[in-house]
Amino acid sequence: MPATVQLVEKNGAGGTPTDKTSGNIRFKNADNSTVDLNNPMVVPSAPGFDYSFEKWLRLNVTGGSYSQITNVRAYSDGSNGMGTGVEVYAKAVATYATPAEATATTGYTNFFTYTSGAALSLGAGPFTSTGEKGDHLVMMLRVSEAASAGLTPSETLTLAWDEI
Amino acid sequence: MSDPVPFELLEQDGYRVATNGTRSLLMPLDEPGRVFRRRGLKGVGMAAPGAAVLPMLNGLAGDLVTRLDMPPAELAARLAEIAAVASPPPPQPVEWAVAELDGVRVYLDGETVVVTRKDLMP
Repeated sequence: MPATVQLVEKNGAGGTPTDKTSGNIRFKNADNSTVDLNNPMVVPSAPGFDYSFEKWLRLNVTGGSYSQITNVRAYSDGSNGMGTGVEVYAKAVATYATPAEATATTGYTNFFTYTSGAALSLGAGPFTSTGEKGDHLVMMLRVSEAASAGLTPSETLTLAWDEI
Repeated sequence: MSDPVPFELLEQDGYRVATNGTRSLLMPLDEPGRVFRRRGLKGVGMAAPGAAVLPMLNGLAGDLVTRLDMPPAELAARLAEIAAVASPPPPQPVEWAVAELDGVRVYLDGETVVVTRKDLMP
C-alpha cells in the first residue's frame, strides 16, 4: 500500500498541525488555520500593501507501506485567479518558525510562476518512515490598493512526489 | 468522480511491475532502469467555497427584500447558481506509474500512456 499522505498547515510556536488535505487555506491577518471571516486582509486606502501572516504547509506521511519518497514539489496552475491587486508568494524553508506577518516579498517568488514545468522543490529526499517530510511550503498573500474589496475567488495548489 | 487507485510496485516473474489491478506497467529486471510512482494532490483550495457563496447569498437576500415576488424560475436559478459555487471539486489525488529507461519515461495514469523524455508532473 502506498504512503498515506496529508498536507498540513502548522500554526503557533509549537507548529500545531492541521490537516488541510481536503480543506482550504485562508490567508488572513492572524496565525491560525481557521477558515472564517475574522482577521481579514485589508485593501490599503493609500498606495501600499497589506501582507498576510505566513502559511506554513508541509507534507505529512501518516502511514502506508513504502520504501522512500523523493522529489517533493509544489506548483500552481500558472494563472493568478485571485483578482487584480492580490498576489500570492511562496518559498521553501527547511526549519519551522512561528508564522509571522510578512513585511516584504524578499526571499519569496510569485507562486504563480511555479508551474508543472517549473515547480518549487520541497526537497529531493529520500524521505522514509512517517511524519512530516521535506521542506515547508511557506506562502503569503499581498493585497495592494488596486484590489477590490470583498472575497477573492478561489485558487488551488498542487503537490507532487515520487514514491517507491 | 472516484479517486484513482494507487499503483502497487512489486517484482514478479522477472519483471518490475507497477499495477493498479486493472492496468500494469512492466520492465524486465535485467534492464538498467527503474519503475516508480508519481503521486500528487491536485487542487488544494486557497479559498473556501463559503467565501464565494457569501456575497451571492447576500446579493440574493438583498434582492428578495425588495422583490419578494421574484419569479420562482429566477429564484430557483439564483439558488442553483449558488449551489454550484458551493460545491467545488475536492482536491484530486493523482496516481501515476512511471518506467524510466535510458532517459525515456513511460507514464501510465491508469488509462493513458505517455512516452517522453520530459519530466511530466500531474
